[in-house]
Amino acid sequence: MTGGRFDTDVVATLFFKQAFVNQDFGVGSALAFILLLAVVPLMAVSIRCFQAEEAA
Amino acid sequence: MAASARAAPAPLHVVVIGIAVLWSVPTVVLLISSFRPPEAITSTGWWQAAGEALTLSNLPRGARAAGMGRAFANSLLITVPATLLVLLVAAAAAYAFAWMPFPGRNALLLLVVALLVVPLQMTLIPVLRIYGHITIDVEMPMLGRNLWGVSSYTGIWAAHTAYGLPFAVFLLRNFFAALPRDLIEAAQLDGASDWTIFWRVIIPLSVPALAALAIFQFLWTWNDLLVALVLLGDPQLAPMTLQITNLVSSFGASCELLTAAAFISMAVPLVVFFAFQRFSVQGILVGATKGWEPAMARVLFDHVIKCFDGVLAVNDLEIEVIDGEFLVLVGPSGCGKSTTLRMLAGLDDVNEGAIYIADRRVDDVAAKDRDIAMVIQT
Repeated sequence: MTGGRFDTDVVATLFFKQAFVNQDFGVGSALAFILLLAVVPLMAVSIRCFQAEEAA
Repeated sequence: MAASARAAPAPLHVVVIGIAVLWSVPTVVLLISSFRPPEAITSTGWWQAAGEALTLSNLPRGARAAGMGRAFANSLLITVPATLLVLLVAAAAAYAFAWMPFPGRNALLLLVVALLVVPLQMTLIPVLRIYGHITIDVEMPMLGRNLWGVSSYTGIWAAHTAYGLPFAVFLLRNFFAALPRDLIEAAQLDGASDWTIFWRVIIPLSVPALAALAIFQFLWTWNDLLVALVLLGDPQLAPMTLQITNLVSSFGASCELLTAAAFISMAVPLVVFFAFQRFSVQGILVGATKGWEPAMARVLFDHVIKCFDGVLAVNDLEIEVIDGEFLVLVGPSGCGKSTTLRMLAGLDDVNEGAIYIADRRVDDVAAKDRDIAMVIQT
């Protein structure tokens, strides 16, 4: 919609811009890694839920 | 289920209808816009379309616009194999996770659960770098420039399959694991290999889950823009989503072509969805409620008589086993217990009387057509 203008970039769009538009794979990789770190808690929760369900 | 849905309070209906209308607005606007002449689109809003002259020329023009036909074929060439690959690999993996004990199984399963939440953007740069190194540059007739790697159908099939697998394996494993153990054990006792059990027992029972998964995977792959944008450099291989994006940037103001092309792109998932809908809804429900209802039915013996060469084995048996009832026949040796079961299974004929399973008379039906099994324990 805004194409990330007016400070509406999210991590994923910024990642895409850095990696594929600016061709800066280093910054792109770093942003992707931040994305991964952000989902680690979610990962823990989903594993916890799955184990609880299996035990039931 | 149906009763509780009917009894749902009015506010719930209002909310559900409201959400449905809200979600339909973009689609309806797209449809309206695809029939409006270019001047009308640029000068007035879609809500003013009532009463103005509509045109049918956008759709054919949109379809002919820069490589749309090729893009449509590309979308199918990418989506159909990617969907089939996910189904095949995920079903095999899910069977192993559910019914084949092997070392490290639980750890691997937890890994799959963990991968469910990893965003696919994570993988784009590494995959692109790897593909860049292993691209096999061979000209393929109809299939583009490369056999493998960047800008090849095989490369994007592999990527879409890998992205779809964690959810697919997770969904199917839960479905397979909920199937009754007795079924698998019965097949194993009959000497069936894992391969046979998988194809002859698991797959036929899992059609709802497989159909639901096929729809999800088809929609995701068909609607994907990001993966195609990154991994398909060759414009000859661009799917609809990519081609429509290019249309926006190259035509700029030609909104009417854009809407028409987008509507053509939407048509295919709609057809797929409605074709598989009845399986899909069932599949989602089955996945949500763990468990599986075994087929039960009333069994009725109506004045059944059986003689073996003048020896009366069963004399005027009249017994009804109601649906879901668990019944034990106890008696001394030679009193006709086995004969009764053999007559029910169709292994022995009946001299007089009738046998019913559910409301169907079965004593003149061949054993294999009675949908009943007999397990002998010695």
